[in-house]
Amino acid sequence: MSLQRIFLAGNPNSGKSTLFNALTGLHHKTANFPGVTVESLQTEIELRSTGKVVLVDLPGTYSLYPQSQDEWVACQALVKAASEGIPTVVVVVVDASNLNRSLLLIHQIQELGLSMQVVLNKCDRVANPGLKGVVQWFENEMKIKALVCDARKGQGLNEVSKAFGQRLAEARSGAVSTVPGPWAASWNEVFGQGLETQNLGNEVIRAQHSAETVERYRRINQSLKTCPLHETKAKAALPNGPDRLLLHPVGGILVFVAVMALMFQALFAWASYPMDFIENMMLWASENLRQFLEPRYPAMSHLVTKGLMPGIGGVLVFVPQIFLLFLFLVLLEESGYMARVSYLMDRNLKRIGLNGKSIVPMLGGFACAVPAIAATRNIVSWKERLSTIMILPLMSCSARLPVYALLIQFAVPEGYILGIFSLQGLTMMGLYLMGVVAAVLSALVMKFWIREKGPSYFMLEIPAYQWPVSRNLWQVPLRYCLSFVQGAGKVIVVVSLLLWFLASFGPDHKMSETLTGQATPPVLEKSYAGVLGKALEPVIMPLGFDWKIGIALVTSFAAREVFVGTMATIYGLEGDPNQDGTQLRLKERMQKDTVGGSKEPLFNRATVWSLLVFYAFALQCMSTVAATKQETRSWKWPLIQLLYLSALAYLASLAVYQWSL
Amino acid sequence: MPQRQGSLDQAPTGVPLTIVRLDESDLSLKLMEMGCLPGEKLEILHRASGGDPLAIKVMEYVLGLRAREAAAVWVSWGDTPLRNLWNSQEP
Repeated sequence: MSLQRIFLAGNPNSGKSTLFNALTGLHHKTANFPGVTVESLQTEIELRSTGKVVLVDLPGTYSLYPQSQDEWVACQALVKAASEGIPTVVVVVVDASNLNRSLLLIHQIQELGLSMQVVLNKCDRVANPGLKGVVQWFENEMKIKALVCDARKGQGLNEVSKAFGQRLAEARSGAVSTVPGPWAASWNEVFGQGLETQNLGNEVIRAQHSAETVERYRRINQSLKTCPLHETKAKAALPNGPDRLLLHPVGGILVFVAVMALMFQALFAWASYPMDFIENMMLWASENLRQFLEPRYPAMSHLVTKGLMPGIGGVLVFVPQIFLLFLFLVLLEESGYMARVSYLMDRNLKRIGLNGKSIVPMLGGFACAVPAIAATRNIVSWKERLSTIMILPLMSCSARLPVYALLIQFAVPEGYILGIFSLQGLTMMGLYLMGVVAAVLSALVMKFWIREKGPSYFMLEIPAYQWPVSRNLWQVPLRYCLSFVQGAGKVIVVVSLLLWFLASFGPDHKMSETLTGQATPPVLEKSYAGVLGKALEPVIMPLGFDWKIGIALVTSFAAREVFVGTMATIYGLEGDPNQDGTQLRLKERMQKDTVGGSKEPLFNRATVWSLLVFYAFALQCMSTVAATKQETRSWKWPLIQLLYLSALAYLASLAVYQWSL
Repeated sequence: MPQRQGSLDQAPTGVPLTIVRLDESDLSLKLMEMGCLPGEKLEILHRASGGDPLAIKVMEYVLGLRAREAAAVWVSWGDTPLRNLWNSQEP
């Protein structure tokens, strides 16, 4: 039997997700993405009265007529719920300072015949936070139970849970008495025909929709006459002050550039301390494990300390940077700044065939392209949405951070400009900028090349500024780090093990002898991995890559962050311990390597720049390919994406290497 | 100030406006759902570079929209809105 359900519905910015997070804590199956709720996030919660129920956070919508993909998800869930026969409660979360507009959605949902509960949220923002008169008004005038809560501060959550239980009891007993309104039939028509038709504007539906909206607002205004609206008057916040600067045509853009610069500087400078700490911890743990295992189980010691540990370490080291990145994104989103950036950038993004709303997935792309691709769903125009998806992998994601961070050390000396800007930090920012420039140029090409029609909109609520909830500041990044470690961790462990196997055994060696310690493992060059890398060498030689880098290119095809793990494994197998027996850091080992026995270091400037450019452009991420396929519902676009990015990466690397030689 | 009317993208910033009507289109349907209904008051708060997009205050919240979308909204401004609509000299 399906579990009973509670749907959280409401306008965007009503604080649904905050309430969802407050009610569920860290018990999520899916990682939430700062910005838009793109999928119905769901999780099971325990209610004292009814036991286990499924709590679903639906994407925000203003009405039951969807215009974009994310609204469609919410509307479909709601309209279908009425006929599915599973006890369902719809909780409409309302921004108390904007009651009027929320009533349209409440009005529509009321006609679906589902058990309903209104939660008046953000009550700290209104003149009379008790809202007693409004709650009373909902019961008398609208015949809907309402209650007040402040999800940000976590106030009123017990009452919310209690109300969930009561409404579910009503839903089970069939005590919901709602008469289907005169318009319910048209929704079925809309959903029957799918989103495309709705967007192209069926004349009949449009006329009906228009009449319905006008009539509903007339009824709403009529009934609001008895509502103590003075209770919902927004407290004089700071409506216009900061926006004079932040939304200024010139000043706003300058502030945005400054914010971005600060973000990347912080990412490189602040994160290095915890990163060094983690790296040292891993070395220490690995060394102790080796000393413990080697005398007892030599084969296993080799596998664990040379295969597994470097791979795991390669992932863990980047957790601080990923955490910081997400922290920044949450700050930008929750403060209300992200919507302002969308507004500021719309004109420029429109010129290159994108939308102001593209900026949210694009900034999100700095964290990870996979959720960012899903976050394009609130872009109404299919063409703009498709272009955004196609260029997203060029935004340097957090998986590239490890690669950049490792390689930059070989190409750029440590040091500071003006005493504050680290040279390596600036280089890092340059690489991100290079990705952005490539994204802009690619978008321009897409603009003229993709032939899809459909209207282009930019209509976006610009929410009032607010302080981010401290809980979200650590929970959201932490949740994402956990899912990164789990997801990337699995891939990297598997690839590391496979690589260890390929690198430890060769065509000329008997596996059993190596494992029992009777024979020494083959030199890397003669191992399976070496043979594979050598086969690839002719293709990648013009880019300045040797067979060892070739191995890393192959392994990081599935996920680019594997590059570092691969390097760690390769050099872990090859490099001997230091004179005094301690293990060298990866960087030191790589520095010692030379090109084919000569004195020339393998990781020289030209090769490193070429590699950096390659990793900045290449689409080495299976998950991105899968996400693009899912969102575009065809293999055409992910294949085009893979091909154009691979070609771009190869040609750019070739140019860089040949030029810097 | 004399009674004036025109499309929202041409209206002055920082002046109380009243919605007169909306053009028939998908776009205006969305605007209506967002609270831009005939008779409703609004005000242009900001314009980005080149006047596009613009930020308007309607129904106690701020909405960002493109000039092309704003062009679908016909507004009036001046001392007594709506009364002298048909006497207006504006196109």
